[in-house]
Amino acid sequence: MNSIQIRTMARDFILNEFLPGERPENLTDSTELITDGILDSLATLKLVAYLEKSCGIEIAPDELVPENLNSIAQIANFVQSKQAST
Amino acid sequence: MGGGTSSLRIFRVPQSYFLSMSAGSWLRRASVHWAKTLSLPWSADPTETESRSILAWFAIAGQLALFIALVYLLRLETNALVRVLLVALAGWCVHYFLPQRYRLPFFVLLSFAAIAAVFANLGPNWHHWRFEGFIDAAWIAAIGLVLIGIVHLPIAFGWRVLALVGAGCGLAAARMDWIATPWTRAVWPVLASMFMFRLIVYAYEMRRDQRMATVSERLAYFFMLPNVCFPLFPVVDFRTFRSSYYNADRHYIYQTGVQWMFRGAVHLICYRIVYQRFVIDAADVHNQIELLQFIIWPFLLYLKVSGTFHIITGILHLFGFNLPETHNLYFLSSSFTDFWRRINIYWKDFIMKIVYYPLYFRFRRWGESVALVSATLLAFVATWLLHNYQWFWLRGTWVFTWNDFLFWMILAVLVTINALYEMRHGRTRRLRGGALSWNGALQTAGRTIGVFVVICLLWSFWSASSVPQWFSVFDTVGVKDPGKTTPALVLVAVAAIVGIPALALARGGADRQYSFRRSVASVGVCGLIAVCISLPVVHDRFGETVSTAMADIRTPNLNSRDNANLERGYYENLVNVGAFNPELWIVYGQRPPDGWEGLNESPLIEFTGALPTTYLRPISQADFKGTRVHINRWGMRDKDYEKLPSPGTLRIAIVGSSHVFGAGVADEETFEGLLEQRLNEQAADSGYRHYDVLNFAIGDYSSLDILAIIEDRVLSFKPNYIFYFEHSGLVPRMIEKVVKAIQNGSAYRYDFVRDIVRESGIDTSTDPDVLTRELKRYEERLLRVIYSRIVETAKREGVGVSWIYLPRPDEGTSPELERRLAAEAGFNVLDLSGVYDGYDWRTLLVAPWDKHPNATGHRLIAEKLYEVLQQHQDLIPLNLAVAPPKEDR
Repeated sequence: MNSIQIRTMARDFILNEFLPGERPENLTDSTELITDGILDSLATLKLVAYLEKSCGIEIAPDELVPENLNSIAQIANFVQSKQAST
Repeated sequence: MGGGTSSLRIFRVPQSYFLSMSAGSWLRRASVHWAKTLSLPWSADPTETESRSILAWFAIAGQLALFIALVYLLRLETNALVRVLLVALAGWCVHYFLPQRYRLPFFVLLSFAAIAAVFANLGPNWHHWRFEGFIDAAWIAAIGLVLIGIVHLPIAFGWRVLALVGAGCGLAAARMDWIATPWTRAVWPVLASMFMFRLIVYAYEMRRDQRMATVSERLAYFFMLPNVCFPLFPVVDFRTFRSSYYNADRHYIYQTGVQWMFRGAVHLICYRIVYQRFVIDAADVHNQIELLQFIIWPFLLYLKVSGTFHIITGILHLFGFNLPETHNLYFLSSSFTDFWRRINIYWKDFIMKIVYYPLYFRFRRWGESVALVSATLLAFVATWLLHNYQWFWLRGTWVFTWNDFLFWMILAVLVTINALYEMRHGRTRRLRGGALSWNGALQTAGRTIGVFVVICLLWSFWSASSVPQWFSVFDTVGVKDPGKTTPALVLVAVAAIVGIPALALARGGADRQYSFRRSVASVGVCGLIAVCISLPVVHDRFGETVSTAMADIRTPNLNSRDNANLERGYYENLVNVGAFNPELWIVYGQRPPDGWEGLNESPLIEFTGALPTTYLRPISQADFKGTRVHINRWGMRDKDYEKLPSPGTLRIAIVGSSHVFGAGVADEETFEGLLEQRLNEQAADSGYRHYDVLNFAIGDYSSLDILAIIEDRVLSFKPNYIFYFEHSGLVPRMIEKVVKAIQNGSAYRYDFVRDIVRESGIDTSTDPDVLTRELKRYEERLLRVIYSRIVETAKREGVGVSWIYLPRPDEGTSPELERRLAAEAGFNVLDLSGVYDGYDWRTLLVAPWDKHPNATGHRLIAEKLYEVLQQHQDLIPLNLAVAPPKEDR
């Protein structure tokens, strides 16, 4: 799975699950998801479950930090690094 | 580039500008932007891309100076903060011009300098430097370095944790005074606030074996500058601390810090007004308005915490740490999960990281719902335990109470139910700048009001002294206020105060552009206005209302309720004293563990099981509040007397409580002894051979005890006069004593108590706090009867009796009710108001944690009393010589 696919997948999931009705173009790759309160603890856990299932990776609790999940770009980088390590 | 002149142009940077790019690209673009617009006549370090501006430097330094002036003028915090702020201002002025690689080491040096500056001068007297303070500061540094060193021992992580636990146990033993330490007690709160949580976070990060932190980063993290004057400190995350360091334009970071510091000051000002004006005791709740007041004030006192946390993070911004907010509009939470996210955000993040996420991942094999419920409930149990752990380190005692446990568990259940609902039905989220529809916004505002009400109820329950007491205040639900204010109006006002901002927040708004110049202008102008209004010469011109409000804000001491409770020893038996009251926490935080117990805990006292409740043990002596106290054969703190006065002697009996007893001063320093000495110095001209002044006062006495001791003991010494001393705030003590006396049966010696018990139909076996509330409505009647009984008893024996108002050094209000009732009962009413004029009341206290007058205070009282007696010879003919002017003495 390349970076563009992961970004698209993550963006679609976030828009459908957490931002229904929001215009897709408003959610950019650099929108701050945690800082802006879109990814709270519950949303983070839902996103993690989705990423684990869709991308075949396993995420540890200590990896739920803003530098991995604060934007779609960071999510894509994080998922790619996990895929590479497995 | 500006070439030869510095310039500062308007900077309009939209917030989306900060958000729509990565930190690196933002920094590059911002740097270029600033380099073009902010420049100095000399070139910056060629290896750095940051720009400098002397105007920006002046702008930020000026705002900082205004902030320090505001804190100083309004006495918003302790002198220690002013000292730290001065260190921060001086340090920042240099720090600004340092190349980036030197800034962090410089911040570390500044942090150590602040610790030394605060410890070298802890008292209110700025000129009193303590060398021992440097030793304490050195101990903090040494212990801290050892603790950090343990985390880095070259052994397995588990062994390092074990070593840390071992070191913690050793320190805990010292904290509980099981082991003597070479440092003073002042070290503990500071050391605790630096290491009790940050070591956990730090060890957690070290376990992950992330990029090795530098020595400066580690030292800066643990000893960070503002910590030394804030024992309650946000749990800063080590990873965030490092990653936020200069992660945006530095002028933006600095200005944000200044804004947050002023925001913190606003919180503290609001807190002071609430604390001095709106705090009401459960016993004083008699109608619906007071019930509302009782429910709302405890939550509002949290402003103290949010205010100090804003100031702390603001100071850290000044040195480049672009940390996130610690609180975000927590009064406007629209759900319980939202409340948990908005209040003390650092704590929430800490618990999520250390407890919630690890537990959730462990439990999720049993299903999402089970994992969510289990992890949330256990996270709150951990919060409850860690709050107790925190109070142990800060106060040296555990604070386990039912209220505390129930508060956290009720909140846990509310948050869990809310989280389950959100998990199944989702939650409306918006991108920054997005707005809800009017319908959605109105629903959100309604929910916000509901959450505010529930949190207020929960908070008032948390801070009540007992569970039955909290429930008892709801007896007043149907009782209307006799005044014009209607509860419905108050409820609408509260709903509007919470609902309208919530509505505005939900409706959102356009993404406001950040402008450095606009921010400087607004903060600077508001700060300047605030400083000007804080000056007495200015605010006194705005009339009495403003003047009184400013006096409340500028009063950094206990309110009348806490003062009264403190004096009567009410807090001695409460393990959680200070947990909800920062002012009390400061008072108790300074108090030594031993040698400062109440008189009733000393060997000087013997309990009677009747009225008066106590007597002084005859021919006894003991150390009490730092001095040796001797009791004569008659059970008085006085020299020895014959039981009956010798011929030609004028005898005065003095009755009262701890201030008259002389708590905290030596035997020869009590005003009673000084007055006697003074009277006898002029006895030759008076017509009397001698004056006896007998001190029958005993600490913790109430008017009921005084009535009993007059009847049972004082009159048998055949005094010519009885002087009854009173200050404000003693009525609650009287009610408390009456409750105890009713419950042990001793009060039934008085028919008036029997009458009240019969008339009121109160259940005398109920909880004492509840009984106190019920008897409160009889306080005026009780006091009137007691005063009348004292006057009648004295006059029957031909003894003149005077009621004398003796204010405490810090007393702001005089006891009008007591004064009126005393006059109506037939006392000669004398007034020692103004006795401490010309003195800073803080210099007249026995100790910062003990509000009794010291030796100087007693000398002033003796002088004033002599003058007043001399002026009232028509009422009390003591044949006194004219008092010479003070300067002659």
